[in-house]
Amino acid sequence: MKQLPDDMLRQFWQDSKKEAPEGFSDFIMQNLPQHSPLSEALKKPLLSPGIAASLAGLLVVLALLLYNLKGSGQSSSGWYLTMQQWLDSSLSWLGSSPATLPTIGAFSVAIVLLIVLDRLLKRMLNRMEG
Amino acid sequence: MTDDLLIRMVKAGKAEAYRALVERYQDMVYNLCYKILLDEDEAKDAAQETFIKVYQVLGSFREDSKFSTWLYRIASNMALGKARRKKRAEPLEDARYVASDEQTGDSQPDNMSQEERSKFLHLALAKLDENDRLLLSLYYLEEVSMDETAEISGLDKNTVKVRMHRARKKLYNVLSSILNQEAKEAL
Repeated sequence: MKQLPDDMLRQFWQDSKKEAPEGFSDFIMQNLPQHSPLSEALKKPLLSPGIAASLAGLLVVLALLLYNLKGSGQSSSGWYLTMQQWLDSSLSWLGSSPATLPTIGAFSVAIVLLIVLDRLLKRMLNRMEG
Repeated sequence: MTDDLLIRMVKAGKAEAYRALVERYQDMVYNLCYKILLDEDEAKDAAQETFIKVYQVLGSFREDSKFSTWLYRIASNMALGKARRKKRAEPLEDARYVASDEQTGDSQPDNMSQEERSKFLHLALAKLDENDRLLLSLYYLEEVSMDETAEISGLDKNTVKVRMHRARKKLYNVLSSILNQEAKEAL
Protein backbone atom coordinates (compact mmCIF):
# COMPACT_ATOMS: atom_id res chain seq x y z
CA MET A 1 0.00 0.00 0.00
CA LYS A 2 1.32 3.45 -0.88
CA GLN A 3 2.28 5.90 1.85
CA LEU A 4 -0.37 8.47 0.97
CA PRO A 5 -3.47 6.29 1.49
CA ASP A 6 -2.14 5.17 4.86
CA ASP A 7 -1.59 8.77 5.92
CA MET A 8 -5.07 9.58 4.75
CA LEU A 9 -6.59 6.68 6.67
CA ARG A 10 -4.62 7.65 9.75
CA GLN A 11 -6.00 11.18 9.47
CA PHE A 12 -9.55 9.85 9.18
CA TRP A 13 -8.91 7.64 12.18
CA GLN A 14 -7.49 10.47 14.28
CA ASP A 15 -10.48 12.65 13.49
CA SER A 16 -12.93 9.98 14.50
CA LYS A 17 -11.43 9.48 17.98
CA LYS A 18 -13.99 9.70 20.74
CA GLU A 19 -13.74 10.29 24.43
CA ALA A 20 -15.40 7.99 26.93
CA PRO A 21 -18.77 9.39 28.06
CA GLU A 22 -18.91 11.87 30.95
CA GLY A 23 -18.87 10.19 34.37
CA PHE A 24 -17.67 6.88 32.92
CA SER A 25 -15.18 6.13 35.71
CA ASP A 26 -17.73 7.13 38.39
CA PHE A 27 -20.21 4.66 36.94
CA ILE A 28 -17.59 1.89 36.95
CA MET A 29 -16.56 2.62 40.54
CA GLN A 30 -20.19 2.58 41.71
CA ASN A 31 -20.85 -0.75 40.01
CA LEU A 32 -17.78 -2.68 41.09
CA PRO A 33 -18.36 -5.78 43.20
CA GLN A 34 -18.12 -4.98 46.92
CA HIS A 35 -15.26 -7.37 47.57
CA SER A 36 -11.73 -6.91 46.23
CA PRO A 37 -10.64 -9.18 43.36
CA LEU A 38 -10.04 -12.70 44.60
CA SER A 39 -6.80 -14.39 43.70
CA GLU A 40 -7.08 -17.35 41.35
CA ALA A 41 -5.41 -19.62 43.91
CA LEU A 42 -8.29 -18.97 46.27
CA LYS A 43 -10.82 -19.91 43.62
CA LYS A 44 -9.15 -23.21 42.77
CA PRO A 45 -10.27 -26.36 44.63
CA LEU A 46 -7.83 -27.78 47.19
CA LEU A 47 -7.62 -31.04 45.27
CA SER A 48 -8.01 -31.31 41.54
CA PRO A 49 -10.31 -34.15 40.40
CA GLY A 50 -7.25 -36.01 39.08
CA ILE A 51 -5.39 -35.91 42.40
CA ALA A 52 -8.53 -36.81 44.36
CA ALA A 53 -9.18 -39.79 42.06
CA SER A 54 -5.54 -40.91 42.31
CA LEU A 55 -5.65 -40.78 46.13
CA ALA A 56 -8.91 -42.69 46.22
CA GLY A 57 -7.45 -45.29 43.81
CA LEU A 58 -4.35 -45.66 45.96
CA LEU A 59 -6.48 -46.20 49.07
CA VAL A 60 -8.56 -48.86 47.33
CA VAL A 61 -5.42 -50.67 46.12
CA LEU A 62 -3.91 -50.58 49.61
CA ALA A 63 -7.12 -51.86 51.18
CA LEU A 64 -7.33 -54.72 48.67
CA LEU A 65 -3.71 -55.59 49.24
CA LEU A 66 -4.18 -55.72 53.01
CA TYR A 67 -7.33 -57.78 52.61
CA ASN A 68 -5.49 -60.33 50.45
CA LEU A 69 -2.54 -60.48 52.84
CA LYS A 70 -4.83 -61.19 55.72
CA GLY A 71 -6.70 -63.91 53.83
CA SER A 72 -3.81 -65.95 52.35
CA GLY A 73 -0.52 -67.29 53.62
CA GLN A 74 1.08 -69.11 50.68
CA SER A 75 3.82 -66.77 49.58
CA SER A 76 7.11 -66.52 51.44
CA SER A 77 8.81 -63.74 49.52
CA GLY A 78 10.57 -60.93 51.43
CA TRP A 79 8.15 -58.12 50.65
CA TYR A 80 5.20 -60.37 51.53
CA LEU A 81 6.62 -61.23 54.93
CA THR A 82 7.41 -57.58 55.65
CA MET A 83 3.89 -56.56 54.76
CA GLN A 84 2.47 -59.43 56.85
CA GLN A 85 4.51 -58.31 59.85
CA TRP A 86 3.46 -54.72 59.34
CA LEU A 87 -0.18 -55.78 59.10
CA ASP A 88 0.04 -57.97 62.20
CA SER A 89 1.66 -55.21 64.28
CA SER A 90 -0.93 -52.68 63.01
CA LEU A 91 -3.80 -55.02 63.91
CA SER A 92 -2.42 -55.69 67.38
CA TRP A 93 -1.93 -51.96 67.93
CA LEU A 94 -5.52 -51.32 66.83
CA GLY A 95 -6.69 -54.12 69.09
CA SER A 96 -4.92 -52.68 72.12
CA SER A 97 -6.48 -49.21 71.69
CA PRO A 98 -10.13 -49.62 70.66
CA ALA A 99 -10.75 -45.88 70.16
CA THR A 100 -8.18 -45.60 67.34
CA LEU A 101 -10.17 -47.23 64.55
CA PRO A 102 -13.33 -45.10 64.98
CA THR A 103 -11.13 -42.01 65.28
CA ILE A 104 -9.34 -42.79 62.00
CA GLY A 105 -12.73 -43.53 60.38
CA ALA A 106 -14.22 -40.25 61.59
CA PHE A 107 -11.11 -38.37 60.49
CA SER A 108 -11.28 -39.87 56.98
CA VAL A 109 -14.99 -39.05 56.64
CA ALA A 110 -14.28 -35.48 57.82
CA ILE A 111 -11.54 -35.08 55.20
CA VAL A 112 -13.82 -36.35 52.42
CA LEU A 113 -16.60 -33.98 53.61
CA LEU A 114 -14.16 -31.05 53.72
CA ILE A 115 -12.98 -31.77 50.16
CA VAL A 116 -16.58 -31.95 48.91
CA LEU A 117 -17.50 -28.75 50.77
CA ASP A 118 -14.43 -26.98 49.42
CA ARG A 119 -15.34 -27.90 45.85
CA LEU A 120 -18.93 -26.72 46.33
CA LEU A 121 -17.81 -23.40 47.82
CA LYS A 122 -15.25 -22.76 45.07
CA ARG A 123 -17.84 -23.57 42.43
CA MET A 124 -20.26 -21.09 44.02
CA LEU A 125 -17.51 -18.48 44.18
CA ASN A 126 -16.67 -18.91 40.50
CA ARG A 127 -20.34 -18.68 39.56
CA MET A 128 -20.70 -15.46 41.58
CA GLU A 129 -17.61 -13.99 39.88
CA GLY A 130 -19.21 -14.74 36.52
CA MET B 1 2.07 5.53 39.16
CA THR B 2 2.65 2.41 37.07
CA ASP B 3 -0.06 -0.05 36.07
CA ASP B 4 1.63 -2.81 38.08
CA LEU B 5 1.63 -0.75 41.25
CA LEU B 6 -2.03 0.18 40.82
CA ILE B 7 -2.95 -3.45 40.20
CA ARG B 8 -1.11 -4.52 43.35
CA MET B 9 -3.00 -1.85 45.32
CA VAL B 10 -6.35 -3.06 43.95
CA LYS B 11 -5.47 -6.65 44.78
CA ALA B 12 -4.54 -5.53 48.30
CA GLY B 13 -8.08 -4.19 48.75
CA LYS B 14 -7.69 -0.52 47.74
CA ALA B 15 -10.54 -0.43 45.24
CA GLU B 16 -10.11 3.32 44.69
CA ALA B 17 -6.80 2.63 42.89
CA TYR B 18 -8.90 1.01 40.15
CA ARG B 19 -10.29 4.45 39.26
CA ALA B 20 -6.81 5.51 38.09
CA LEU B 21 -6.62 2.48 35.80
CA VAL B 22 -10.10 3.15 34.43
CA GLU B 23 -9.29 6.80 33.77
CA ARG B 24 -6.01 5.86 32.09
CA TYR B 25 -7.59 3.42 29.64
CA GLN B 26 -11.25 4.42 29.31
CA ASP B 27 -10.83 6.39 26.08
CA MET B 28 -8.81 3.65 24.38
CA VAL B 29 -11.22 0.92 25.44
CA TYR B 30 -14.28 2.99 24.49
CA ASN B 31 -12.78 3.79 21.07
CA LEU B 32 -11.88 0.16 20.46
CA CYS B 33 -15.43 -0.94 21.34
CA TYR B 34 -16.94 1.88 19.28
CA LYS B 35 -14.91 1.01 16.17
CA ILE B 36 -16.04 -2.60 16.42
CA LEU B 37 -19.69 -1.93 17.27
CA LEU B 38 -20.19 1.42 15.49
CA ASP B 39 -22.80 2.42 18.05
CA GLU B 40 -22.17 4.78 20.96
CA ASP B 41 -24.57 3.15 23.43
CA GLU B 42 -23.38 -0.36 22.69
CA ALA B 43 -19.76 0.76 22.87
CA LYS B 44 -20.44 2.35 26.26
CA ASP B 45 -22.05 -0.89 27.51
CA ALA B 46 -19.20 -3.01 26.18
CA ALA B 47 -16.57 -0.71 27.73
CA GLN B 48 -18.37 -0.71 31.09
CA GLU B 49 -18.77 -4.48 31.08
CA THR B 50 -15.08 -4.80 30.16
CA PHE B 51 -13.90 -2.77 33.16
CA ILE B 52 -16.18 -4.61 35.57
CA LYS B 53 -15.07 -7.99 34.19
CA VAL B 54 -11.42 -6.93 34.41
CA TYR B 55 -11.89 -6.00 38.08
CA GLN B 56 -13.51 -9.37 38.81
CA VAL B 57 -10.74 -11.38 37.16
CA LEU B 58 -7.82 -9.14 38.17
CA GLY B 59 -6.67 -11.96 40.46
CA SER B 60 -5.82 -14.06 37.40
CA PHE B 61 -3.72 -11.30 35.79
CA ARG B 62 -0.08 -12.39 35.58
CA GLU B 63 2.15 -9.48 36.50
CA ASP B 64 4.80 -10.45 33.99
CA SER B 65 2.44 -9.56 31.12
CA LYS B 66 1.31 -6.13 29.97
CA PHE B 67 -1.93 -4.92 31.53
CA SER B 68 -3.04 -2.94 28.45
CA THR B 69 -2.69 -6.01 26.19
CA TRP B 70 -4.75 -8.08 28.60
CA LEU B 71 -7.34 -5.30 28.91
CA TYR B 72 -7.65 -4.85 25.13
CA ARG B 73 -8.05 -8.57 24.71
CA ILE B 74 -10.97 -8.65 27.14
CA ALA B 75 -12.46 -5.50 25.54
CA SER B 76 -12.17 -6.87 22.02
CA ASN B 77 -13.73 -10.21 23.01
CA MET B 78 -16.58 -8.34 24.69
CA ALA B 79 -17.18 -6.08 21.68
CA LEU B 80 -16.80 -8.86 19.11
CA GLY B 81 -19.29 -10.98 21.05
CA LYS B 82 -21.81 -8.14 21.03
CA ALA B 83 -21.16 -7.42 17.33
CA ARG B 84 -21.75 -11.05 16.39
CA ARG B 85 -24.94 -11.26 18.43
CA LYS B 86 -26.13 -8.02 16.83
CA LYS B 87 -25.30 -9.28 13.33
CA ARG B 88 -27.30 -12.44 13.95
CA ALA B 89 -30.24 -10.43 15.27
CA GLU B 90 -30.25 -7.72 12.58
CA PRO B 91 -28.03 -7.45 9.52
CA LEU B 92 -26.08 -4.15 9.23
CA GLU B 93 -28.06 -1.36 7.65
CA ASP B 94 -26.90 -0.18 4.26
CA ALA B 95 -24.25 2.46 4.86
CA ARG B 96 -25.12 4.27 1.65
CA TYR B 97 -28.62 4.94 2.91
CA VAL B 98 -27.24 6.55 6.07
CA ALA B 99 -24.80 8.56 3.95
CA SER B 100 -27.59 10.14 1.97
CA ASP B 101 -29.21 11.57 5.09
CA GLU B 102 -26.84 14.47 5.44
CA GLN B 103 -25.43 16.98 3.03
CA THR B 104 -21.67 17.16 2.94
CA GLY B 105 -19.50 20.03 1.81
CA ASP B 106 -16.36 19.21 -0.09
CA SER B 107 -15.67 15.49 -0.57
CA GLN B 108 -11.92 15.96 -1.03
CA PRO B 109 -10.31 14.51 2.14
CA ASP B 110 -8.03 17.52 2.61
CA ASN B 111 -10.92 19.96 2.62
CA MET B 112 -13.23 18.01 4.88
CA SER B 113 -14.10 18.92 8.41
CA GLN B 114 -13.24 16.57 11.27
CA GLU B 115 -16.90 15.61 11.57
CA GLU B 116 -17.14 14.70 7.92
CA ARG B 117 -14.04 12.56 8.08
CA SER B 118 -15.41 10.83 11.13
CA LYS B 119 -18.75 10.21 9.42
CA PHE B 120 -17.20 8.80 6.23
CA LEU B 121 -14.90 6.54 8.21
CA HIS B 122 -17.93 5.25 10.13
CA LEU B 123 -19.72 4.51 6.85
CA ALA B 124 -16.67 2.73 5.45
CA LEU B 125 -16.15 0.69 8.61
CA ALA B 126 -19.78 -0.42 8.50
CA LYS B 127 -18.95 -2.17 5.21
CA LEU B 128 -16.18 -4.22 6.81
CA ASP B 129 -16.28 -7.34 8.90
CA GLU B 130 -15.98 -6.87 12.72
CA ASN B 131 -12.67 -8.79 12.75
CA ASP B 132 -11.22 -6.37 10.19
CA ARG B 133 -12.48 -3.48 12.29
CA LEU B 134 -10.72 -4.91 15.34
CA LEU B 135 -7.40 -5.29 13.49
CA LEU B 136 -7.66 -1.78 12.07
CA SER B 137 -8.44 -0.33 15.51
CA LEU B 138 -5.39 -2.04 16.98
CA TYR B 139 -3.26 -0.88 14.05
CA TYR B 140 -4.21 2.75 14.62
CA LEU B 141 -3.88 2.48 18.41
CA GLU B 142 -0.27 3.50 18.14
CA GLU B 143 1.16 1.93 21.26
CA VAL B 144 0.05 -1.60 20.30
CA SER B 145 2.81 -3.63 18.60
CA MET B 146 2.30 -6.40 16.07
CA ASP B 147 3.10 -9.02 18.74
CA GLU B 148 0.51 -7.53 21.07
CA THR B 149 -2.03 -7.35 18.24
CA ALA B 150 -1.46 -11.05 17.65
CA GLU B 151 -1.96 -11.75 21.37
CA ILE B 152 -5.11 -9.61 21.57
CA SER B 153 -6.71 -11.03 18.44
CA GLY B 154 -5.67 -14.62 19.18
CA LEU B 155 -4.05 -14.97 15.75
CA ASP B 156 -0.44 -15.67 14.87
CA LYS B 157 1.79 -12.78 13.87
CA ASN B 158 1.98 -13.63 10.16
CA THR B 159 -1.77 -14.03 9.86
CA VAL B 160 -2.20 -10.68 11.61
CA LYS B 161 0.17 -9.01 9.14
CA VAL B 162 -1.65 -10.43 6.11
CA ARG B 163 -5.13 -9.70 7.45
CA MET B 164 -4.19 -6.23 8.59
CA HIS B 165 -2.80 -5.40 5.16
CA ARG B 166 -5.97 -6.69 3.52
CA ALA B 167 -8.18 -4.81 5.97
CA ARG B 168 -6.36 -1.52 5.35
CA LYS B 169 -6.61 -2.04 1.59
CA LYS B 170 -10.30 -2.86 1.88
CA LEU B 171 -10.94 0.19 4.05
CA TYR B 172 -9.10 2.41 1.61
CA ASN B 173 -11.11 1.05 -1.33
CA VAL B 174 -14.44 1.37 0.45
CA LEU B 175 -13.63 4.85 1.71
CA SER B 176 -12.52 5.94 -1.76
CA SER B 177 -15.70 4.64 -3.34
CA ILE B 178 -17.85 6.43 -0.72
CA LEU B 179 -15.94 9.67 -1.30
CA ASN B 180 -16.28 9.31 -5.09
CA GLN B 181 -19.99 8.69 -4.73
CA GLU B 182 -20.30 11.80 -2.56
CA ALA B 183 -18.30 13.84 -5.09
CA LYS B 184 -20.62 12.71 -7.90
CA GLU B 185 -23.72 13.55 -5.87
CA ALA B 186 -22.31 16.96 -4.98
CA LEU B 187 -21.88 17.85 -8.66
